[in-house]
Amino acid sequence: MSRVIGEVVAPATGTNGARSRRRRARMLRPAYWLPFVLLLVVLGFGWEVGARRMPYLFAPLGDIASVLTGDPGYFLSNTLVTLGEALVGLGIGFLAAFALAVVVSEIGVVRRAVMPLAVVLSVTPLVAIAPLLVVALGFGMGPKVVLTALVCFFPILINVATGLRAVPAPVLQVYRTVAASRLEVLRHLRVPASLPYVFASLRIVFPLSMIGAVVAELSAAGSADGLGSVIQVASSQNRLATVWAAIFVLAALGSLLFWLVTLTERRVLHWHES
Amino acid sequence: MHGVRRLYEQADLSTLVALDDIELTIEPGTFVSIIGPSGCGKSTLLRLVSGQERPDAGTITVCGLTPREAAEAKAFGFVPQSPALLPWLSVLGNVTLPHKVNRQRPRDKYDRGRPDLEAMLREVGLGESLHKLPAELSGGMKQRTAIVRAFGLRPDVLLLDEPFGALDEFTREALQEQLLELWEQTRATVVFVTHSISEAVRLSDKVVVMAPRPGRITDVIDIDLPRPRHQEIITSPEFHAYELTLRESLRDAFSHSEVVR
Repeated sequence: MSRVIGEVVAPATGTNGARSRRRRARMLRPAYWLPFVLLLVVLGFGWEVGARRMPYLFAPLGDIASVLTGDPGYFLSNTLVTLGEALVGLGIGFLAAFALAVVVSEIGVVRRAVMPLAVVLSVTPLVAIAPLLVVALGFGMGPKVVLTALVCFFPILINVATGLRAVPAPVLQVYRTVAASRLEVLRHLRVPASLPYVFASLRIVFPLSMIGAVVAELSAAGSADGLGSVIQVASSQNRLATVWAAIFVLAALGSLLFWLVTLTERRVLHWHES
Repeated sequence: MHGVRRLYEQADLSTLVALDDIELTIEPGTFVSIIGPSGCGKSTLLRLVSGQERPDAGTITVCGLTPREAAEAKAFGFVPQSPALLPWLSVLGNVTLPHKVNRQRPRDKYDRGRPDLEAMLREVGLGESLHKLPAELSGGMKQRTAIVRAFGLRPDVLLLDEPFGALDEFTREALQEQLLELWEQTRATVVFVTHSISEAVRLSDKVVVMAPRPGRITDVIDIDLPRPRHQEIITSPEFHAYELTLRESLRDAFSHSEVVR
């Protein structure tokens, strides 16, 4: 397929608008959404059976819905607390990791010292130190933000450090022959080239930030707000419907964040193939 | 504008001798091709000339400056084998960016101003594509953009490292034509690395033949054909004679290196 512009025949990569319009048209077809809806119906049915057989694990969907609608303000305020902790922690983690990634990509000695450790720590479940952080930092925002920042730090560091070094050698050669400074190379070549890696790390790290915040809340339950505390307190009082309501809210929130990242990525990285 | 340009170098790169005892003087404003089998150090030579690597022995002078100083004075334009465009910038953006880095102070003696880049792009047939991204261009259009990026710097020395190596025959010949047209206007000194005998004869005033292991110059052939050289020249008997001479010389270079090994 090709479209003709003046006399130049250009390959039909399609504009962004046309592509997303086509995607939307496809999504309206039953063949596209029906399988998912069917699965939801089957799962919902299974859930109701489970709720009758195992009342200590599942709560009926109706009860969960009525808990949610019964006091939406309660869930909203706790959601905002958790979201705030997750985003502040993510923001701090991102800035710190990006700064270190720049240092690591520019200075070989630092890279060889830091990166092996970073790889080890990125596969370590850092959430496990949550109880220690609560002991050290108390029941406020502190331990939640610190844990979230820590959990997000290493995946971002590794991705961005890789991305900053992803400029092809011939491109570097072109700009070295005009004696571009290191700062100019960083600003005009390395940082833009790292953006696909930045977004890849954000897609990992947004869900991680929620995990960090919730785990920290679970470890400091009783005296704090947030959906993790809601879950902890409600499960100790055997209010299963509330536990599940909070989990559903977390799932929805995580999906929303993921969708926002994908949407931003499509805007910013329109030049990138994927 | 400048005195006689002198390129003289003796370089031993690590234990593998990439280039040995290279002695070469290139007159300003001439078009010189470097031809030779893979691994004879053609690309290394370009990196040395543009100051990205230092020779282990010998000296290189570009318009009376060291390569490093010449690069800082923006004396070079470089076209690599792959177009090496930035995928997030438009054609125009890609061509403009080298002007934004290492900016010369206005009253600097090296300041060379900025030519009308849009006009240059239009001239090579990219007028419709000024604001397109590299991903939307064909291979030939990308390489044309890379050539304008280099010429747009108004360099004293243009370095081209097999710029047409990845293109099909038709595109290659069209681009040779455009390269010559741009060059006639600027008359920069050109150092053109190639694998193609006919390309070397068509474009150059002088062809330098190199042999590998260690990389060295085995022959320098002057091409005394009238300019401008259009497409038709390829079929002329003189052109063929030069091609044969060059082929002979290359065969010698090859057999010689076999003996050395």
